[in-house]
Amino acid sequence: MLLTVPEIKKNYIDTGKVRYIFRNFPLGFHANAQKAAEAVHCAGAQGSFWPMHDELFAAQSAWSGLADVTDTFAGYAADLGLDGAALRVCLESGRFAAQVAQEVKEGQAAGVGGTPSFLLNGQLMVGAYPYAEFERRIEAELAK
Amino acid sequence: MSAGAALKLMAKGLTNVAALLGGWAAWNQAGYPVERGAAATATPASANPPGDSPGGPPETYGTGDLREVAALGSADAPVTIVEYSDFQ
Repeated sequence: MLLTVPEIKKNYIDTGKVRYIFRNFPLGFHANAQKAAEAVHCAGAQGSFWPMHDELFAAQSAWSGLADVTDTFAGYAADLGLDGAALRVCLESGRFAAQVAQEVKEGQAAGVGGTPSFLLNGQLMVGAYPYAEFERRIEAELAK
Repeated sequence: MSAGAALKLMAKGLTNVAALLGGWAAWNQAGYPVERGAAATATPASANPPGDSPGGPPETYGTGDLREVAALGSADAPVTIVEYSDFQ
């Protein structure tokens, strides 16, 4: 999760002003990004989308260079109290591969070409903007 | 970036610099994503509003809508932010 999200959550999501949606946009030159995107949905199928999302971001340096991430991701799932074996089956079956592809397709249709990108009430923001910029744009939307 | 650009940055004291073999042209030719400037930022997202799936009904987890699981906050909030990220 981006460093700005906790502040956005505290000031805007938790106060009912912002709805925050995560979509996968795995980049082709990141070898394990696709499986990570699928893994977060596999964990979501067990009710733990956000914990796995946070775990994968926090530990990315540990798995990004691996030849096969299945064992590692199954281990993360077990660490989170999930069914690691079920997550392994989910990954190996590609259950959510089409879902991830759909997310990419939707992002591309909205103009997304790189990460991170954001759509703030439909306005495309490309890059990791500081919190102050999100605040400025959110306040501008709220003032409309 | 090209080797020339990398060298210029290194000459200015930057250390975390890498040259891209073939430069920008090779990157584009390979079809890798690029961050675009004014043209892309002017593209409206209204063709695919958040939560709307043009590919058909959303995948479900069995008990809930996948799209709801990947969202934080009230569906009635006046501002919606959709983050597109990869994990690497």
